[in-house]
Amino acid sequence: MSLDRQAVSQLLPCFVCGDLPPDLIEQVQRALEADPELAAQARALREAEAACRELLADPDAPGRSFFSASPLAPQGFGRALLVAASAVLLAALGASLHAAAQPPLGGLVEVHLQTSGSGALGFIAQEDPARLAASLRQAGVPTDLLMIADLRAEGLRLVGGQPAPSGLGALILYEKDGVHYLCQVYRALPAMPPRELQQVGATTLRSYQHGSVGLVRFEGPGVVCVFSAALPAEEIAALVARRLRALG
Amino acid sequence: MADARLIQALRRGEGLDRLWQDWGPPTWSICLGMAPDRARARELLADIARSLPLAVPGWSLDASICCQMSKLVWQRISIRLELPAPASIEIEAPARTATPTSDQLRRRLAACPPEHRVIYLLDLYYRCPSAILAELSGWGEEQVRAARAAVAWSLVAEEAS
Repeated sequence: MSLDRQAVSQLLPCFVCGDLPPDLIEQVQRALEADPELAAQARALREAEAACRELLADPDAPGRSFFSASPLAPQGFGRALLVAASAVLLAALGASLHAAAQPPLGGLVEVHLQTSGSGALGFIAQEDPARLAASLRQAGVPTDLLMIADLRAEGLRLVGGQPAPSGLGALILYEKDGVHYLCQVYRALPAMPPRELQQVGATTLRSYQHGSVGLVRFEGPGVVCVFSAALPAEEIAALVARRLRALG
Repeated sequence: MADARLIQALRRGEGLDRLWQDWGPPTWSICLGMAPDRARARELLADIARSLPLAVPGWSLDASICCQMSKLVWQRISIRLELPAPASIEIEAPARTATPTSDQLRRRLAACPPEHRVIYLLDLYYRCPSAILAELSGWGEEQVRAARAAVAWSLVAEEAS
C-alpha cells in the first residue's frame, strides 16, 4: 500500500530526523523522487535543522573546568580516564540510530593519537599507495573507503594505514617534518558543530581543535574524511583546501 | 557496547570527564536554544552538570547514553523552566515552505512553546528515537512525534508577505 501525498507530508519531519521504520522510509523516498514540492519541503526541513545547529553552535561552550567546578562533582571526576577510543568510535559510527548520535570528536582525536604513535596495533607500514590499498582490502576495508590521496605535492610522505578500530572505515597515515597527519575515512559521521567553516568549491571544510590536535572534516560522495594532525586546525584546513583546489 | 562500558565506568565514579567532553557541547547548544539569554543558559547547564553525577549511577546498561542524557536533560530543563505537561498538539504541514534565515530561525524558535521546542532540540542533538524518548519521559510516542513535527514545520513555514 502506498501513502498518499498528505500522509507523506505529515511523515516528513520524522523522515528527516531518521525516525521512521525502513518500509516507510522507502515509501517516503519514492514519493520525494516523484514529487518536487514534497522534496522541497524535505529539503527545507533538513536545511532548517542544519541552520539551527549553526545558530546554536558555540565555540565557547563551557568546558570541563565548568563541570568540575560544580559543587556536587564527585572526587573521582578529576581523573582523566579515557575509554578505549575504538569502542567510542564504534559507538559513534555504528549503524544504530542511538550510536550514530554520539558526537565523535573525542573518539576521532583518540584514534589520531593512537594511530600516529609508533607501533599501533594492526598498522600496515607501506609507502606504495597501490600496495597499501591491496593490503587494506585484504584486511577488510571496503573498496569505496580506500581513498589514499597522493599528497607528495604538499610534502607529505605516505607511511601506511590500517582499518579503523570500528571496522567501518580506513585510516591513512602521512608524515612531514616529523609531524604525523592522519586521514580517517568513514561512510558517515554524526554532525559536530565546527569551530570554523570554509567553502572550497562545492566542498565544505569544517575545522575543529581538540587540545593540540586540529581536525578538518569534509565530505565526498558517500564518504566522510577527517584529516588531523597535532597542528592548528587552520593550518590543516589550508592544506586540505590547497589540495582540493589543485584537484579542480 | 561502548556505551555500556562507559556507563560501567560512570557507576564506579569514573569517566564523567569523558561523558562531558562528548555531551557537554550539544547540551550547551540545547540550553542556549531553551534559555532567554546566555546567563540563564549557563544556569541550566550548571543544573544539568550538577545532576549528572547523581543520575549516572542509576543509568541502565541496556539503554544508550544519548537516550539517558535526553531523559536527564529533559527532566532538568522541564523542572527549571517549569514546562507544562503534554497536551494535545495540532500539526499541519504549511502550504509553502522555505529555509529560514538566521533571524527568522531565532525568532521562530523562540516563538515555539518551550515544551515542544525542548523535544525538537533533544532530537536534533541526541537523535534519540521518539519511541524510546516517550518510554523514558512518560509522554506518549505520538505526542513526542507531534511536538517535534510542530516545531519543525513552524521553522520552515513561509510567512505571508
